[in-house]
Amino acid sequence: MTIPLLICDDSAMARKQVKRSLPDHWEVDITFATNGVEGVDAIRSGKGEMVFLDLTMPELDGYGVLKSVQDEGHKSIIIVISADIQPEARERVMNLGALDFIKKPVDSKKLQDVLKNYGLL
Amino acid sequence: MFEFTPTKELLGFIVDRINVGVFIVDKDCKVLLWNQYMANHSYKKQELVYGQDLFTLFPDLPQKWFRKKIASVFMLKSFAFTSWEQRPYLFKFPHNRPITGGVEYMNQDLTLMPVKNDEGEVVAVSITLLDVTDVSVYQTMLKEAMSKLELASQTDGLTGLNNRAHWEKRLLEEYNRVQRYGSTLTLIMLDLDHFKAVNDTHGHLAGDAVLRDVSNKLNETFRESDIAGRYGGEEFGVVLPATDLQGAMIVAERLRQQICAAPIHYDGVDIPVSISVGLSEYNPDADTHEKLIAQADEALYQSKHSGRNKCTSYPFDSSVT
Amino acid sequence: MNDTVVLSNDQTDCLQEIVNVAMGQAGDSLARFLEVFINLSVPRIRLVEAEDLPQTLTEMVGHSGLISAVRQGFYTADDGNGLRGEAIVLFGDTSFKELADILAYEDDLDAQAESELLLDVTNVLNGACLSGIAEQIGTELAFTPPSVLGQHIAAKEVVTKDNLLWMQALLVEINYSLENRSFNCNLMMLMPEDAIEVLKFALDKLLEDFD
Repeated sequence: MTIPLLICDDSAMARKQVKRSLPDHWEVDITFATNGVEGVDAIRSGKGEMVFLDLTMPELDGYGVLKSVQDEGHKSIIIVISADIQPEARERVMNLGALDFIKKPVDSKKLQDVLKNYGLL
Repeated sequence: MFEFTPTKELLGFIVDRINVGVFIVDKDCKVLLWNQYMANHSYKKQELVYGQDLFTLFPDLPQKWFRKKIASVFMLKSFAFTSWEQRPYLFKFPHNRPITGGVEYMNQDLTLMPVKNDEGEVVAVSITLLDVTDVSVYQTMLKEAMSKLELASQTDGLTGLNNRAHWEKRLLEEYNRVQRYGSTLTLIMLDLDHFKAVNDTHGHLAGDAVLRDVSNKLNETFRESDIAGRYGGEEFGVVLPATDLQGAMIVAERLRQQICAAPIHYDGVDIPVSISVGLSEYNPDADTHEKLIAQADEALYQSKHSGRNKCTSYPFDSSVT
Repeated sequence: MNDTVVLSNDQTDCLQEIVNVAMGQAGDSLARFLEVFINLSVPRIRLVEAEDLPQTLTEMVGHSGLISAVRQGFYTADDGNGLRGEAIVLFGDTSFKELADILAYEDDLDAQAESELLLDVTNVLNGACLSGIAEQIGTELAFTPPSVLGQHIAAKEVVTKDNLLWMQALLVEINYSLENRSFNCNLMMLMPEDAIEVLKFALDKLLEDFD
């Protein structure tokens, strides 16, 4: 079954980095969002069952996206990929329902390990 | 052609003999390297300091602060610095200006550099110490020269009082303070009576002596916090912060009496001097500091018109002459 | 404007992301230094003309109140790579009291303790942030000691136009603020034209790896 996957980051390079770090032959249907508002719209329209989410973004940041998802009760699986490596940032996103936290720049092996850990591969 | 490859021995020699302090400490602040410069200036030989705790060796170091600085290099894996401008010295080293330096110890700038292993972990901190005594001496001289210049640009050359520009600036500051925070101030303007005649009769040098003498009396009469200045040729202004008209009038009157009671001796001649004075206290009509000057000036001319050698405060009854 | 120094959209995006990562690392360092949570915002990248710099500084700070400014030079420790520039950190005066409070300075800060604190925080921020940027483009930076440009002055007084002997510089602007506190500081990294060329070359190499 093809998974609707959303990559939400304001940087084109970061989006490319995430895309290239995905496992080969993983059946996903990728949507890109360039800020939090676009990201929430995509999730609402079912394009984000699985989400890779940045934190510092214009319009609406990653915390805002997590909050909206929680408030609106979407069942998306969200993994935060962020440059904000303060331990408290990690704690906060976990409290807002994120599945895990990966620090930037994203490392392919680390990302696939996380996916395996949660049985998503 | 001369082939040259620096060997490890040569580099080691340079570090050891360079005219800059170089030393390395580990996480526990134990000394791992101590070059000749450090040895010479601390009077502590290399073999005596290796493996020793830096702070046991130098109990005078600001331990808590310096430990934190070193710890920050380990934690942040980045450079750290200390500058003589904040802390003139860390080590009490003698300097090479014992006669002309004017500082007690060698002034120092330190650079703390992380020493990393192959895994990128910081294993030690390399510290270089630069003698900046000369820089500090020149900087201090420069600062002194600048403050002298600043003072000169604010002072009237003849009398040593504030010059007009600076005096007006100080008046404006006081005026603004009262406007913003309340309280009051009184402005005194005073002018020598018949000063032209002094110049004409006794000469300009005598006139200068009179101006200087009156300035001295101004300085003696007013408080440290009062601001006296030479406003024009023979006109002076004094700002009395936090003083009302009544208080200012007492001082002005005392000054007037003193001046007219003591003629000025110049070149064997007694020159009688008197002043006419005008006062104005901060009031709603004086909505700028210039208005306040104008009011005090008006009162001053009232003193002149009504016979000189007297004090008048603003507002006054102009029918009394 | 001299077109050769203008960054392409791809280059700007790439640099933005690099700065983003470095900013995160620096924020973490600062957070550990101050033991507080740091709010990060999106970094801003643009070219500035020398004559606009005083105005840019005022806009960055966002008020005409008094600030203190510290500068620090940086250059690549690699042989002849040529990346170099200066970082300027601006602290608002109210931020300053806040900082002293956080670091539990017991007495009122005297001028010396105050400038020492400014220099320390600047060094922590620059060390972490600029090294982070350099690392991602495969080089390493060395730093000169930080020095105070001015204390309790208006932002536009930080630099004097007449002393700027360059035409354009690349400005990377990062803003750090502390949660629930009024502390706020702006880090600006300025690179002269020759260094922009070096940077562009490095960015292109990175971008090639992604296409």
